Amino acid sequence: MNPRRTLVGLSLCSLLLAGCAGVSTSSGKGGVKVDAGVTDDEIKIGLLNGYTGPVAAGAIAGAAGFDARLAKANAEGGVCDRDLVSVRADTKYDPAVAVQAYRANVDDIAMIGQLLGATTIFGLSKQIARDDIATLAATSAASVIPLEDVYLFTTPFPMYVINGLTWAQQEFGESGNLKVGVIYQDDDFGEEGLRAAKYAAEHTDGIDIAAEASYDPTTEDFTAQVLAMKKAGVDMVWVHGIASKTGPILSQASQLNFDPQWMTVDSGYDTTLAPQLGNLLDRLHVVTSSVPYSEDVPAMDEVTKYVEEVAPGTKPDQLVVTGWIDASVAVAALERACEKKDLTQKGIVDAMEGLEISTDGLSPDLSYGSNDDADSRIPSRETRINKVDVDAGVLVPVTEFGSTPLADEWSLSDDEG
Amino acid sequence: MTTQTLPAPPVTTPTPATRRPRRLLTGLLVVAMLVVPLVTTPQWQAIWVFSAIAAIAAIGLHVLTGLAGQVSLGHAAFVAVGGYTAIWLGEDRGLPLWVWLPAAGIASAAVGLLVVPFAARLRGLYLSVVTLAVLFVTDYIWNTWEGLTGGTNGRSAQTVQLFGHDLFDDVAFGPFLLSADQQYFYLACAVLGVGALAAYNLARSRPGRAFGAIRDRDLTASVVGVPVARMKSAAFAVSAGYAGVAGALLVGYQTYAVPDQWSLMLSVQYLAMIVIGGMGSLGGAIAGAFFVTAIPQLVALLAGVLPGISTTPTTGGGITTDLLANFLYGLAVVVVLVVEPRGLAGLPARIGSVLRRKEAKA
Amino acid sequence: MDTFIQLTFQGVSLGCIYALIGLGFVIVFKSSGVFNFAHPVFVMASAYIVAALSPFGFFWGILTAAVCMVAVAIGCELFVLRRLAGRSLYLVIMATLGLSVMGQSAIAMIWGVEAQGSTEGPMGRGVLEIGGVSLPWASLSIIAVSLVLLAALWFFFQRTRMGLALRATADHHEAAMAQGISMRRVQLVSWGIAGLLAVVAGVFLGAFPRRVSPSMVDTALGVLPALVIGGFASLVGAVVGGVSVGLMLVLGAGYLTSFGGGGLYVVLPYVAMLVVLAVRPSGLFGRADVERV
Repeated sequence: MNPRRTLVGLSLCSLLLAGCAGVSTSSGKGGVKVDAGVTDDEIKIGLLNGYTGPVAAGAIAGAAGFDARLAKANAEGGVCDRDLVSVRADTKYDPAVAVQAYRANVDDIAMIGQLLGATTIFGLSKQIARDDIATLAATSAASVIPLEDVYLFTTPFPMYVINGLTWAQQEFGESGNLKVGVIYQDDDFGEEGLRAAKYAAEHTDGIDIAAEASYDPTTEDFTAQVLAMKKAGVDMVWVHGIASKTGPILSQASQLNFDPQWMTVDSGYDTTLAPQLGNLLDRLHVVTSSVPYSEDVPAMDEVTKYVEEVAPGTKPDQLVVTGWIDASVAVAALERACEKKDLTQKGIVDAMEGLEISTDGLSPDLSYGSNDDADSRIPSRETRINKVDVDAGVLVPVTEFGSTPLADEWSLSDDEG
Repeated sequence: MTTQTLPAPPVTTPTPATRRPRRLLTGLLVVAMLVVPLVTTPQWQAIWVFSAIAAIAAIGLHVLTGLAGQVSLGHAAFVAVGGYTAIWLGEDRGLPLWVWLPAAGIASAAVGLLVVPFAARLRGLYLSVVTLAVLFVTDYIWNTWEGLTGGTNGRSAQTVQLFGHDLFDDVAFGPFLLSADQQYFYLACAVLGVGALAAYNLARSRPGRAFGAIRDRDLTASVVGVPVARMKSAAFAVSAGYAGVAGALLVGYQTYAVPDQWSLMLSVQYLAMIVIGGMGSLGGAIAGAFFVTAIPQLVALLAGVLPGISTTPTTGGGITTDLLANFLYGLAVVVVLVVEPRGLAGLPARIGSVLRRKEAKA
Repeated sequence: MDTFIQLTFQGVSLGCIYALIGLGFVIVFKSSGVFNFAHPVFVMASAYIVAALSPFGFFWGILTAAVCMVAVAIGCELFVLRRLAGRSLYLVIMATLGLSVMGQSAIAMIWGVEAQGSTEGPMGRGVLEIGGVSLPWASLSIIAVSLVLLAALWFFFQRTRMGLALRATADHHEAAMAQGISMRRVQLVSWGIAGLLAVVAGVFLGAFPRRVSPSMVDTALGVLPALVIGGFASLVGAVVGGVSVGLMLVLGAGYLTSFGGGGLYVVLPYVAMLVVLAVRPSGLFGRADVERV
């Protein structure tokens, strides 16, 4: 046989095969419009996380919480008579790999249920907008809210700072005056925290940012940053960074005889800090927007029950709870899309508009406004303040969920940087 | 100095008798490469695209390290320069592919020349550390120069358009559909083809032979009249040029670029490609690029067959596909170096000799 | 003034850790011509072992880590790098990078990806107050132990037969062999010493206020500019380079925050390194003939 002819034949065959791929909208069971990721039995939801690499621990915990919530939904009969199935893809927390994972899965899932890390979200934002696929962003960075088809499921970080500083002013301020220092990670995450702190100081009498110091994520010695705070004589230090650096910062401050009040965001604390820091944690308050895993609320029993079912042996991690909340949003969106008889990727995006979700007390209620108005898509402005139970390392609430008037006024245009 | 550089084994010039099967083999491989993306799943298609782009960068490193014998741990930095040039011209200025793609190569080559004042004076370990310094200094620049790079959160990249057609839009040929990945793959392959041909010819040209002389012993090279400093500069520039073009295509395909991605590990990956492929072999560099990029997916396939590999990641350790993929990638580098220095490029010869021995026995 | 002294002290203490890591690189490089990119993994692995075993006793942990690291280092030498003897430097570097990748994945398979406790042991968390300056015991122990180790190393190299053999090998391989020095033994000993130094560095790097975590590899790799500044083949250079990098990082963080976006101190060592390379490529303490074309 002529080799050239074989070749032509081969490539024609392959073209034929390629033609079979590609997504088209069709009508499925129950007269529901479907395209990618939905069959008569299943709805597939993508969880694109860095399961290896620097954020692996959080990624794995978040996915476990998500799967647990899906198990609950399936036990109750699924959505639209279909089982909910998660599809995990590792992004290695690297945008290049994230693109690979995204492109490999986007035609096979109805929505992205979890996409971890602001950087990765920004990295995929152009393609997400292009494919019009609803994406739940596992971050609290306010800067991703304006992105098309991207939805937060937690209170954004600036609210943490504004609510936290307002509370601290009443709690620690001497005759209403509070000198605040900010130690922030030298990246967009940390800078957002600094901007929010400045916003709070500008709009509140008595709160004064007396010192600010940044650190690079590779920093191993925090003497300089701590001394900057100490010299300014601040009453309270707001630490806007990751948990693995909170330990060294607090430790070195104690070595340098600097003993202010400390506050940080939920990602600035994890339970493994307790054995290392011990009593140093007495003066630390952590602002959160979800109920800690350890807390005894009715909904938490369900969380633990289903987590034990889908991922036995999962360590108690706050991201299990946020993963559960995340999946609650996903399930609610799919149910709404089902009511509207449109489970296409675009249909789910439309279903997000005006969605209201109660998480049974695991977090403040979440609500999503118009897809065209970014500020209305801030899911909640409520946070609560916790202290640390030094023996168990767990967070114990000091306040209820709530927001301050200043946080209610805040809009995304105030976060300019 | 304690390290000795032994001359690399001489490149065997193929006799007419061996040339024909070799050509046939190359032809078959090229055809396979072009056809395979049409028949594989979307998971693999993205890998083909990344492989083809990585192969372009690997060719650059092949010229620098394989031909001219200079070490670079900073290849990722030059890929980044190309990427940001393309973003600046393509996204910010709205210029077409015909402008940003070559410009990325040229800009990167120009930056490559900045290394030259060091490269001309140093070699071996000191040179590799200079290239590493370039990587760290550029990393700082990317993180600080927010106007260009968007800072730590990165920024979106240029849209890749050919004749007014956006490559991310599916193309229908009658009943057939060419997906975005497939289109992008062919674009990358076209660039790769041109680059490979150029590198092939370069190796056989006068400068190519001069590179070889420098690799084998630069002192001797200078004695016989090779302008060593100039040739080293040329090798750096050419290598950086390839890296730049690869960077432009990479950010275009990612639609995004983040400063953190231009890391030492990326440089090491390019080095691993030419090591695993077989030092000094052009085909090996390309094969190595495909192999290294595909390892995670290969391990995922392996996990379906072998027991004891968990596909669900855990925080508590254990053998998971992702960790195993990383481990095997390191192992592949070490094993190739210790056992089969010719790498993937040496495989046909090895298989050939085994077959011939069997034939002789029969 | 207090601020300056405080920063300097912390810088020196961080610098001592870098010096210990750097010495591990230099000793191996001098004896076998291998630039060992897997050394940071040795450092991290020791910290993990000590942290994992410290519930059973800090010194048991150290002992186990020491035995393991010496074995691993010698294993790498015997089974991988010895077989690459005489091959180009680039291939040797690649092999150690491959080992480094393997080691990192293996550690993640064993201990997972979360931070794993601390290696503080008896160093504790106390602080010595002198004037307005706080000197944590942990930092003081780092400096003291480093000094003792340096003295021991000096004694070893200057006053023992093995040390003499090591120096001779470093000076001239062939001449040393002609004198009947067993290259194999010399190389095994130097890799073993590097393994031991990795344990000490690992313990200090993982001690309060820091923690044992996968990012220790990157921290340890930060020693590269120190090596260039001091010169790859100089023990004194490794110490001076290490301490100056520690000082640059801490003092830079203290005084350079208003320039270059605040993160300038992170690249400061690399800039210093480029300056040294441009002016004196062999490093401040290297011999001038090294590696010039």
